[in-house]
Amino acid sequence: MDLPAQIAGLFVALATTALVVGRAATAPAPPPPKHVSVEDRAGFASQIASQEDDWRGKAAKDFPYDTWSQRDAFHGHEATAVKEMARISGVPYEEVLRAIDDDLHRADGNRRRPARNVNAVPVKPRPIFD
Amino acid sequence: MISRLARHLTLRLAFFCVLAAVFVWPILSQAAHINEFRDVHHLFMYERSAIDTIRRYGELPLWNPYYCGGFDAVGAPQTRFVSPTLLLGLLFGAERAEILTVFFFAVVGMEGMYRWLRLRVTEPLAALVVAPVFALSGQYAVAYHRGWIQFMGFELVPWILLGVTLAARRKPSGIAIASVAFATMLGFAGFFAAPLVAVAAVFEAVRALSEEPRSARVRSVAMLSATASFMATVAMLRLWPVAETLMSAPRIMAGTPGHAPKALLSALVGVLALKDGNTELSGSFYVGAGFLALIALGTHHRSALTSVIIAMICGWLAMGYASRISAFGMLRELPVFAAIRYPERFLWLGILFASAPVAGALSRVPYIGEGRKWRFGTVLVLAAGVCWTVGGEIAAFHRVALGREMGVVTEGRVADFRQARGNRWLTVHLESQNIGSLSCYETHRLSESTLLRADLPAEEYLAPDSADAGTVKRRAWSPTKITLGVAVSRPARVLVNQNWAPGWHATVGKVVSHEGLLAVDMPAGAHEVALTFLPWSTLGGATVTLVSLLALVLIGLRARRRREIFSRRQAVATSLLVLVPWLVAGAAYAASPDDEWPSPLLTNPNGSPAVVHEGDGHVATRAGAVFSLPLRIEEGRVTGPDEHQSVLVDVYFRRLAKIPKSTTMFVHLERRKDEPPAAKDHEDFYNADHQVVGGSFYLSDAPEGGLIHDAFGVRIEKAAPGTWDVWVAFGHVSGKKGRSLVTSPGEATVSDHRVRLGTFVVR
Repeated sequence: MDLPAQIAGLFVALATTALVVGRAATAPAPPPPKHVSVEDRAGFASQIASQEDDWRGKAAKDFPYDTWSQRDAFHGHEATAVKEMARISGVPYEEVLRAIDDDLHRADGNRRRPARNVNAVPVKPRPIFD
Repeated sequence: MISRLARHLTLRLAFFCVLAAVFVWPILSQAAHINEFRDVHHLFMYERSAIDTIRRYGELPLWNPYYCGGFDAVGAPQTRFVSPTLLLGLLFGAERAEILTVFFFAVVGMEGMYRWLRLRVTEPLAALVVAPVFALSGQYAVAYHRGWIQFMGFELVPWILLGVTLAARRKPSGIAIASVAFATMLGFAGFFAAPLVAVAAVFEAVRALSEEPRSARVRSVAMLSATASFMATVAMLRLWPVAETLMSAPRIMAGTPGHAPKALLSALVGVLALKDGNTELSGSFYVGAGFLALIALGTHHRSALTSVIIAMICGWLAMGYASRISAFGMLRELPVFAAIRYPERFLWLGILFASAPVAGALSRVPYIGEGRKWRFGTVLVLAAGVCWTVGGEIAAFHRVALGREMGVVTEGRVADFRQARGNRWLTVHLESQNIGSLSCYETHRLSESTLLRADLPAEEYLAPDSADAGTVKRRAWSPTKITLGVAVSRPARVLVNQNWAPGWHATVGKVVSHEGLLAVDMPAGAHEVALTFLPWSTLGGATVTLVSLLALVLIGLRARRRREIFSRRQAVATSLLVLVPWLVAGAAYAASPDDEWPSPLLTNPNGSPAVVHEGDGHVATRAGAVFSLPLRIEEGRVTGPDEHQSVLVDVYFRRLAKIPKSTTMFVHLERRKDEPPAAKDHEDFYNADHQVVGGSFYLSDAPEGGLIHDAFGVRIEKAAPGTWDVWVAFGHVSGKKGRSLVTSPGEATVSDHRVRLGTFVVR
């Protein structure tokens, strides 16, 4: 009596696993992203750049004399802005991030705005997290 | 009859697979999307980039260039690809593999719980019914919501405990089970779980030993020692690189986290829900009130006593510093345990150990009364109680998993990898573009060069002092191999816009660290140089792991013939097999050709050095006050308030002898008493107590006799106008409270055993 039960058990285990794997493997993929024009990208980059001084000021106020925390807070503000910008424009986050990066890699852009956090501030997690 | 069927592996697996399928079912439809919770970004990116490195470049993912300027991926405690689950990622992609990983771990966890419970519970059905409670408990829902997929590794804890008990019962299979489970857990980024596992394994070992006859205990201790040894050596592939990383950049945790019993109770029975996109403590370890009632029911029998005691100790540990005598505080005095952050995670172990009395209740209570009706009725009621618990757990998982902010990763890789300013809150969206993020966060300090740039025209270039010596051109790039064409008229240094780490080698010239940046000193001439990352720690660790597995196989073969592997005749041969991996590890360590990490930089959050020398030019007011602890404040300075309403405090002090880890610096910013009363919305007191200097080291670890510079900012936005004093004292963060006495004031003003460091005026 046990052998048929064991075979049935094996079948149920395998069938369930196959069902789960199948459903995960065939879950609908996201729709293809919307293309962004060069002008749109330039717009994203300049919008971000125009807010950076404000974010730096807020971060300096929130985390006095703590360079990594200030930088991290800056990026926290930036992430919120990137998400919002992408949501309004209906484009993937990647497009906005690429626009910022392209802007920072343009030599003339850097001459225009000398301090744009393009250096690394080594991570120094706060020993007590709030 | 059902009880008899529960003994069969395939039938149990069928039951567990169905349960796990119900657990993950609604989330499967989101499998192609990613969780956008903040922590997910770097954790998921670690997995995604590992899969990409294998699929796209055909390389082992030893180096991750996409985050923080690049790091040793095997040596990073939170990467989880050194485990069998990587196969799921390779087959289905990182996104879809995530929920499948949860499914398989849930099944593995339930089977592990069943087997572990069965060691002490004779009734198979009781173990079968109770097994899912731990494996589906609320913390897995929290972990999944936050993208802490590596926490699914906790599902292997019952397997480790199973191995420990089997080993104590002198069954060689126990050594193999515990070792492989532990190595898999560490490979799956189980470094947060490891200290808890150590605690659980000690409890289990002591209990298992106490259950053995006295005459066999020496052999049981030998078996447990062999188990501990193999747990370390089989996991060496991961342990060695991670140990190397954490020694170069230790994780420092301070504070006195704690929870009142009421808060812990709400964690166990409260409703797990989302608030502002995150989970709270309530319901975060959900097992439900029914489960607690069943524990109480299970305590009626003597055999449940040890499990209940261990569960209660776990509860005590989970209270953290909220209990009068803190077991958690005592644990944190130990070296590795000092880095534990959340005491409430001990509830996880509490649930695990408390499952035994519940299974005991299910197996015994039906036999207390007489008659089939009583038996059937009690089984039905008790099983319904457990089903209610498991149903609640599944509902909690669905609630928080479906409440996640979901996103998608869009592929659009730039042809040439480059570093960007990036954003650690969105970093997975950069990796998909073949772009690295210099914005960086990890739970430990990473060795990250300050020379990394996000605006370079080329990622490989000549150092400034040899910029005119020639040219550098990238010929080929992959995460672990960079090929460059270098033509220089004289010896020159080539810089690569990534971090240096031990394990980078060059086919021409010599790899060096240029202020933490990867660099190679090239001879004059035209060369094609390939930079390859192959760290000795990973090679050596992998060799030790392989040798350990071979030794385990040999032990297994010997055990088939002789059963007792630590009998008088077998002890020497077995001991040799236990020692061989360590000999290989020692030889491999001694033969390492890789440079070592430099000592960690000890700095303050503002970048100033935390250890200074007399006469280095710093300007501060002399104090010279000595405390009973023994510490001496040499000098102090208070600067500000600045334009952001912050003051900078600089304390120069020395540790004169050994002090406990709990030592804390009390810092009080106090408005003078003779000032007029402060307005309602103004403050007249701030405190900036801390146990760690600049996030770099505990006060107790300050170099003895050295001059320590502790610099920190305090935000005083709502400070009332007037003159303020800054006072500094020492004491303990836990245990013996109160301030250390000032035994000699020196030149300082002292009040209430506090030394005045300076003053400032708020206008």
